[in-house]
Amino acid sequence: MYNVIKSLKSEFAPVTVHAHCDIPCGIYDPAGAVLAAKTVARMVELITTTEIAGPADHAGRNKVARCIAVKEEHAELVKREVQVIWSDYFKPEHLTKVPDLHDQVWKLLKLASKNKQSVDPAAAAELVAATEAFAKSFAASKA
Amino acid sequence: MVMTARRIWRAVVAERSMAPTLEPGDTLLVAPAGPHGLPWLRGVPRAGSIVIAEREGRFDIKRVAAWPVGTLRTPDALWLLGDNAAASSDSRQSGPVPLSALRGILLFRTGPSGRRGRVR
Repeated sequence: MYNVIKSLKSEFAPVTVHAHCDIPCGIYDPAGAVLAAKTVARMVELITTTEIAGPADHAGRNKVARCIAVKEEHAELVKREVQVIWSDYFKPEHLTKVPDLHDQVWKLLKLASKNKQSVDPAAAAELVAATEAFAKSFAASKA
Repeated sequence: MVMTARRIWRAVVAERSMAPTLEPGDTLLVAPAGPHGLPWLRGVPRAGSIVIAEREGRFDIKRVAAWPVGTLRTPDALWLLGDNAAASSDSRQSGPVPLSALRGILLFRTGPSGRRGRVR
């Protein structure tokens, strides 16, 4: 009986039909990465300037904790946005226009990780500059 | 290989090129069509029908569209487009699909429960 049900189940199992969109829809924009990097920078600023009165200052500690969570999330978003453009948008022929692409992306991703690990305004400013440079490379590849 | 010929089969949608008509996770009942399908579904489906065609070993779901002006019409082929043009890769990129690749015609949406019914 069990086997009968099993064979019936496999017989009527649905087949996946694709309405695919990971194919050349061609909609890529580095603005998302720049925005996320700016969010990281702003969170670093808030974390370093928020005064906490002491262990009983729950409101202050809550605010800092939230800022840290947003910083972590947006640093990850920077990596995700850049990685998708790097792997899906850039084609070998773009490398003639942006010869240092791989190095640039590699350093940018490491910088995003550094911003997760630390609270460093200089690193955050570097991250914003790096995403803006990446956006320039993206524009250059289209020129 | 999944047997799709000669009996009604079930399908589940992945990805969003047919949105908002079909969303990922929609389950469908499909009638076998194309060269090995039901005898009365072997011809060219009407424009506007939602069909499933095989391409490179996988099944794609798209809508049969009118042939664009200026393209060379081939007799046993279909011009297939996704409803969500911005997110669809279809005949605009890959050209017409031969009738021999046709595997099914959408009959009915069986789920999720709130979306059950005919699809237009």
